[in-house]
Amino acid sequence: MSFPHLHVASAYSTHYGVTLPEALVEQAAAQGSDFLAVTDRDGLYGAVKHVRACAAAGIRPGLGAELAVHDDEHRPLGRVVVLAHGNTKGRGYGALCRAVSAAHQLGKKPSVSRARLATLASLRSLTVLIGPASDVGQAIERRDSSDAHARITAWNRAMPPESIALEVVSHLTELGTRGSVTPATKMLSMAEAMLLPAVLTNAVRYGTPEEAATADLADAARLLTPLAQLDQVQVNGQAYLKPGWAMRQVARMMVDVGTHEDGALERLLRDTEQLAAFSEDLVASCAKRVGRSSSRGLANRNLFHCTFPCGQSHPGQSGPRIAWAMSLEGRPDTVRHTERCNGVPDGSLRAGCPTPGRAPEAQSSMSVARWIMSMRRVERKAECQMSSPPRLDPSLERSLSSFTAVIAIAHATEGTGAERALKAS
Amino acid sequence: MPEIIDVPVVVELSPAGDPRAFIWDRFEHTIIGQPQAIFSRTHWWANDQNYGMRDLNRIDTELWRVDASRGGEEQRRYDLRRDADGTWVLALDWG
Repeated sequence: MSFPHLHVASAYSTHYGVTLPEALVEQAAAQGSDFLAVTDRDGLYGAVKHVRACAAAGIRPGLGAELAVHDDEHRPLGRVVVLAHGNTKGRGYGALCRAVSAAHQLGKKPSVSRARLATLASLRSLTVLIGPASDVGQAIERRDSSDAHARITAWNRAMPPESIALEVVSHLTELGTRGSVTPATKMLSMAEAMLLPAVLTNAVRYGTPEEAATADLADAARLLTPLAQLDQVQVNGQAYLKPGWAMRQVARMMVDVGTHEDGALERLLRDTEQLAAFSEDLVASCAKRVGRSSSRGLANRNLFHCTFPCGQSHPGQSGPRIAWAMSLEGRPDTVRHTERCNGVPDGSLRAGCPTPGRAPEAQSSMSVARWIMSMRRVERKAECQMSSPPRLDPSLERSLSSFTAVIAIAHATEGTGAERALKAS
Repeated sequence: MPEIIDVPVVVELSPAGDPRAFIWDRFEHTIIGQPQAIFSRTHWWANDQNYGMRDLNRIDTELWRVDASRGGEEQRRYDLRRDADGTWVLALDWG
């Protein structure tokens, strides 16, 4: 019995996801699933590995990203999952890349404006999953149903038709608490009331329940807080890649505690399958590109996104290659930064970059070829970097301080659980 | 107040994986309606030194809150706990 997981963070969601994309795909295939999406936090960091692993395992890959969103007044609207549609001649994937780039253009904390997301989601290129981490989900969590209704209405008005779905998640915690079936069933009721589709996900952070303790450590590292002082520790260890029968079990329990229309359970599962089908074919072309390490498309966009160790992003970095090249023109600092981050000799990118304003065919073929070779060098280097999990960011030292603090607390309480967990992970 | 039972029981599962019935004190108790699973986490870093590494493989305690009746008797609410080794324990009788 297969289930298409639409919301999955891989280990490339630094300090959040736990399991490498290859392991997730292998597990999904072993569970009999024929589809798996990867939706890393704030980027497409695990996408290339995911698509390759899916192609090798013979299952359909989906791509998306979990992004923070803000409104026109820059008020935060929580986090949503943005899924690219397939079978759109790359439009869905392109829109997803632009959404990720837009999220990185403002300030230090990545966040995309809802208006920008609405523009990108037009032409049925994206679906935005509004789940428990969104402003709507948070309002439901606070039991503020009128606020939740106002917020979903605002989403409905802002976004193009058929571009949003409500994401129903339950990690089966104690009834009435965060992650229980209660907010999930309310979310499903809201979808029915608003005539919006609802999809079931498990907001996956790790492949197996045994990896849940590692996710605790990831939380401590990300929030730079010792475990004992974490306010928002994960509710339990249920955010794993559950097999189909277990997801149906969750759906049954969730539907049972609410008042829903007839056939709500089957409709929820059917809509989940349908969205997976929307998301699948984007990779038919992408997989070929990745397979031959093309200088275009997926590999190019993703790897560039991952190659700035400082975490700084640049306008247009995930746009089409030529647009990216154009955007570099007149930005010598950006070019130099790109070269230094990727170990390319100074001036090599700029030297070969096609001149804006001139048709490509009018340019020297040697110039374009040299430029492409430079770009490929950058990509190869980036690919080498991405063959192991992403490097820790500059806050590594502070993260290590957190681990040290965890161990210190464990010793102080005469416990060695934390130490063992660190060794185990 | 719930009564603490804490007795190992035999649980029969449905094909979908939900508990369907359990045998306690020689009598079969049939579960009525959709049972609800509850997974409560442990704060493993705060546990005592006897907390072995084996236990870190699972940070959750799995409980099933079920309504069940014995024969034609009135239904009562129980908590069934499934331990890491797969054994079932009738933990609480809620009345």
